[in-house]
Amino acid sequence: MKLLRILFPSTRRQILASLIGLALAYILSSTKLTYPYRVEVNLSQIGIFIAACSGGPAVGAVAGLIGSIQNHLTFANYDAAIILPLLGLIAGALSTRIKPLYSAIIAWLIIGLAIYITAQSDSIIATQLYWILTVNTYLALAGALSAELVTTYLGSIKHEKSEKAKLNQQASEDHQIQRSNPTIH
Amino acid sequence: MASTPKINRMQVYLKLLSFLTILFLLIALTQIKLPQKALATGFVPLPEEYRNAVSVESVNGAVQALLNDEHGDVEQLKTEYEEVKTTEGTILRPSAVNTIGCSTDFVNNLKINFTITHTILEPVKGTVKIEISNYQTGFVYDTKILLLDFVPRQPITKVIKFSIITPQPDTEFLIRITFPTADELAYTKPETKQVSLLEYLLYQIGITPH
Repeated sequence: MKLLRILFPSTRRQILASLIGLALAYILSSTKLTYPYRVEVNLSQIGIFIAACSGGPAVGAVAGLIGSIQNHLTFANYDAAIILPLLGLIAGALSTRIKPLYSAIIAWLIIGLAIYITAQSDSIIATQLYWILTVNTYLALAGALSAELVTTYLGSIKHEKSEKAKLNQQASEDHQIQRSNPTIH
Repeated sequence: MASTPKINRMQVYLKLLSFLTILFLLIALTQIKLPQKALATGFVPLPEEYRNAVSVESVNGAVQALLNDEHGDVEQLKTEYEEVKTTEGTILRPSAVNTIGCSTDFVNNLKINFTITHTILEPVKGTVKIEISNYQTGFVYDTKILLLDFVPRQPITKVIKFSIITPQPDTEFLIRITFPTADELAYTKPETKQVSLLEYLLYQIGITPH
């Protein structure tokens, strides 16, 4: 049961946020932003990170696949259909342990580093590779912030420890208020 | 009572602002288009307005004529060359005649030294063509094209080397130094094109994005 809770969204809020993420991943996958050195990106990462941080690794991977449907872009020599599901999977897995903001950034850093290391042996131009990594890191930052905002607002955070800590903090604050003002019950 | 955790509004606003700023920059840097004047590249012709402001002076040439005989031996011909200025160009004429057997392979190593003076008042680029031909037959042996940077009040001096194989010894060479027009050169014309804001900024800091 615990594994299922980690892999899939378990609350209604998590399901809602996951659906928003999946929808955004699909809608934003048709956008195309072209940067110098013909580096093209789209904003589907925003939806992928929201889905991953709310719904877990399985939903993150599905969001990655959905985000690559209309997305014919490549990350160095890798197709978006490989990179984006991996990104969702890692971000989703990390989000059960750490905050969405950090899990999304770390997920991209892992993927970006893997792309950088493997692309060294290929004939890809170094300048183009740096552009790919820079632009996508910047985009991942936007995705990470959006995931953090959505999960915070909708209360769909997968990170159980932080949620429990916040609930405990809230409970202690309520208790203190009750003690200082005994007329409130 | 404590069904939802308390949200730190300040942090949320800060994150929201950061997100919107990053998103705005992501889109604005590629979608906002600005006019950018791209410089001409390749062998740029000297602008029409400066054609009368340049003159080729002091064309000097030195020739080292070598004979390759049928045994594979290389011998240098003892020939002095004199320069004759004409309206067509500068003629390099041998002052003595060599009597050679049945060899048909003469290597002429030419070293051309020329100076261009000008009255151009702004830095411009211009292409110069150096043509070596046979003065008697008009046959063009070789041509070289140079892209020069004209700096105000600074004459340009260049040294060009040619290696020309002729069937006869003591060839009279005609050196012509001209400024080709746009029709004769392959180059990309300067144009104003619409570039993204990011590319515009890169141009401004001296990086040319491809």
